[in-house]
This record gives sequence, structure tokens and C-alpha cells, in this order.
Amino acid sequence: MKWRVIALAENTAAQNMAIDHAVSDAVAAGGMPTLRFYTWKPNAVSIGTFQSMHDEVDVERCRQNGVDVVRRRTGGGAVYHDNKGEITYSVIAPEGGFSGITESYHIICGWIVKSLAILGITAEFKPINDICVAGKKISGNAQTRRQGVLLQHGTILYDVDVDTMFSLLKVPDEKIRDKMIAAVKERVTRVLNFADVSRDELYQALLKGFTDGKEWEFGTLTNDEKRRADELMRTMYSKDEWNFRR
Amino acid sequence: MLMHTITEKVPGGKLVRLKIDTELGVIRKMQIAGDFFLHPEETIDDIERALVGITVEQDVWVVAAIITSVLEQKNAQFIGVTAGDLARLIMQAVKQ
Repeated sequence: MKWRVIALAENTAAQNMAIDHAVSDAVAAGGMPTLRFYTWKPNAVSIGTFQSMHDEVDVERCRQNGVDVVRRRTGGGAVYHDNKGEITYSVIAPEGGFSGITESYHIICGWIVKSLAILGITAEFKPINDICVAGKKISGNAQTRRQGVLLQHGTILYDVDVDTMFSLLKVPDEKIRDKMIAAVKERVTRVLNFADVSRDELYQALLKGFTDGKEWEFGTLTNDEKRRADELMRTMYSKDEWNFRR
Repeated sequence: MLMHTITEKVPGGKLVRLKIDTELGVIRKMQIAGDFFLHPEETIDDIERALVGITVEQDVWVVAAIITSVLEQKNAQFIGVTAGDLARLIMQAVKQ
């Protein structure tokens, strides 16, 4: 199985989710299994497919701050994607090459653990879908299976601003906002806390960790994928009918 | 129409937020939200639909069996929450 790697690129939230979707459709139709790396511009909040936008996100404050909001096709929680603060990846491949869902989290998260080890960071997969360093979360991941295709995407925190993150996410009780922020700061960490590396060095490490032992080549989206992604961006991921459906 | 809500982090699992409308002791509308996983994802609509019409006096195990039967029909799988967790939370919410 030869993989296509789509090099680190910066997109809007709706574009990023539309590209993942379009590539999944292409893989279902026999296209090459694909690894993507990307960042989000402008900053964005993505929510899990079963989450209620208004329950999780301060949508008004996001608008005021030019922060995109988008619903993912995958489950899991709300994530703040800072433009400079993280790298997101997607693995899109026929599910036959992987086993069950729990097991495939293990496999793909293992590639992230391997990548972080290249930077001298000892990380471990923490089921269901997290990767931790020194007991703190450094990466969150989410997976879906459609038409025989596995799509797993996730983020690796490089630099994180928990205060900004919490100004955009809803907390259950305003009275305990400060306490919650303090608790999250205790539970979340970032690459910069453990390795003095640039974000490009993190990207290079991810590229190595994800492709190690695989046959692969750099590639770009096909014209069909671009067309489909553009259509999905316009008709789904930028629409309230999808983003606010719960 | 009465509206019931409940939010709970399932022990060892994920967060579940329920919004349930009842009328005359019967569930009329149900939204199951949260940061759990369910494959295939569309099954959530089938589960929500299957729970409409249940009375607030129903046994938790019956509600769990209804959810389980939808999961089996759709060959679906929850991760981070179980049918039993959901059933317990639903019946807890509608009795509040």
C-alpha cells in the first residue's frame, strides 16, 4: 500500500473539514490512502459531531474575535485550533488495513508517540483517544469509518493558550471558570514544555513518525477532490444547517 | 410540555448531555449530545427516534434493551458510553 502525503498547509476550518471529507470519498472510490498535515487560519473551534454548538462554544465571542466554528464528522470533544499553536493531521485509508476502532487508535496514535520520541519526548497513548506526556494531554484524536474508509484526525499541541481557549468555550458554571481553567492547565501540556524546537521541527518529526516503514510520496489533491471539497465547503461545512444542527 | 436536561461524565467514559421533552409522562423529543463516539454516527438519530413514546415510569433495563436493539440492528458501536449508562441517565432526567 503506497501512501500519498499532503504537505503541511493552512486552510479555513470549513476547508479543512471539507478536504478530509472529499479525500475520504476519493479513497472509498479507490484513491490512494492519504496522510495530511494542516493548520487553521483563522483560528477555529471544532466540535464533535454529537455536540451541541451553543452548549459548547461561545459563538458570539468567536465571531467578535474572527474565530471560525465548525462541526466535525467525527465524535469527541470541542477543540480550539490556534493558528500557530498546533499541527493537525488526518489519516484517510481503507479500513481493511486496520483492525477494530479501539485497536486502530492504538496504531495511529503510536505514530504520534514515535514522532514525539524523535524530539526526545516520551509520550504514551491513553485510551480512549488521547496521548499524554508526564500524565498531561498533548494530543487529542477522533475517528470515523464511512464506506469502508477510516478517517482519523487529531491535533498535536505545540504552544497552547488555555486562557484564550476558555474564553471561546462554554464552561458549565461561570462561578467556577477560574478553577476550571486552572484544572485544565494542570491536565494539558504542549511540545514546547519538553523540547526547544520550532513548529517546523515538530512537523518534520511528525512526517518521519507517520511515514516510517511505509512506502509513500508527496502528492496534492486531485482535481476531483478539489471540486468535491469546494462543494462540501460551500454546501455543508460553512452552513448553519450542519454546524448548528445540534 | 416539560423539558428535562442532565449532564454527566460517565465514569471511565465521556460526557453526555441529554435534553428531553415530556408530555403527560411520555417522552416526546430527545437529544443525546456529548463528546462520546458512535459508529456509524447516523445511528444517533435512530436511537433518539426509538426513545420517543417511552413513559417516564419505564424500567431502566427496558430502555437499555431498546437502545441495544437499535445498536444491533444498525451494527453500531458506542465508545465512551454504554446503552446502560444512557438508559440510566434518561430515566434519571425525566424523573427530575
